[in-house]
Amino acid sequence: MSFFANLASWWNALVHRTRVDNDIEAELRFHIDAHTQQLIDSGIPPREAERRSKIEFGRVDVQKEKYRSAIGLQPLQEIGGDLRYGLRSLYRKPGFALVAILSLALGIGSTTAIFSLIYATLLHPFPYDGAD
Amino acid sequence: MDKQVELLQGTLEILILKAVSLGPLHGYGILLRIQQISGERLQIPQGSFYIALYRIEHKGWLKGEWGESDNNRRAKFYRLTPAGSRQLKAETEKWSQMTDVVDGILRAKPEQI
Repeated sequence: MSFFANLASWWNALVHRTRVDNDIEAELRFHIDAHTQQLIDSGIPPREAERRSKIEFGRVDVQKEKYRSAIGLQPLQEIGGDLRYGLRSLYRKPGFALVAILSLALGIGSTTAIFSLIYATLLHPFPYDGAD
Repeated sequence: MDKQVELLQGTLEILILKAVSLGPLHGYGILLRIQQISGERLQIPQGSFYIALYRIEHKGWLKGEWGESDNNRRAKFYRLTPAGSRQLKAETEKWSQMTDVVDGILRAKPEQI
C-alpha cells in the first residue's frame, strides 16, 4: 500500500516535475504570506513583518531541494546533474572528447577482435563429441 | 512554567498526523494548530516542518489537495488517508508505551531495586 504511494509520488516528482515544482513554490509562498499577515496583525509594520517571515523560513529554492531529499530522490537529482555536467564539458572540449571516445572505441574494438580470434582458433571446441 | 520546549527527534511526524486528524488543514495551519494546542510552548523549526510534511505525504499517510483558504487564496489542504490513521494509532500506542517505560525508570528510587 505504502509502496504504491511511494511510486505515485516519485512518478509525480519526475514526470510532472515543473508542476510539482510550482506547487511547492506556491505552497511555501502561501506559508510565508500567511505568516507575514499574522505578524502584521500582531502589530509589526508590513515591511518588517515580511522581512522577518522570509528570514525565519529560509530560501524557497533550498526548501525545494529539501523536498526532493525528503521523498528520497536526491541521489537521482545528483546523478542527473553529474551527467549533464559531463556532457557539457565534453561539448566544450571537442578535441578531448574525440580522443576519449576514440581511445575507448579502439580499446574495446581491438580487445573484442583479438578475443574473437583467439576464441575461434584456440578455445572454441569442435562441434562434435570427443574433439580431442 | 512557560518555557519553550524543543521538539524531540522523530516526534514531528506523529504531531502532524494528529493535527491533520482533527480536520483537514493547509501546511501553515498544521504548524499553527500544533503550536496552539501545545499552548505556544513548542517551537517547531519551520525549515524541518515541510520536510516532515512532504515525507509523510510521500509515504501516503496524508493526501494533499488544492483548495481555497479563508482569505480566498489557493492553498494545499492535507487530510488523513486510511493508512495515515492506522499509522497514527500505531504511533500513539508506541509513544505512550515508550513514555511509560522511560517515566518508570526515571522515577525509580533506590529502595525499589
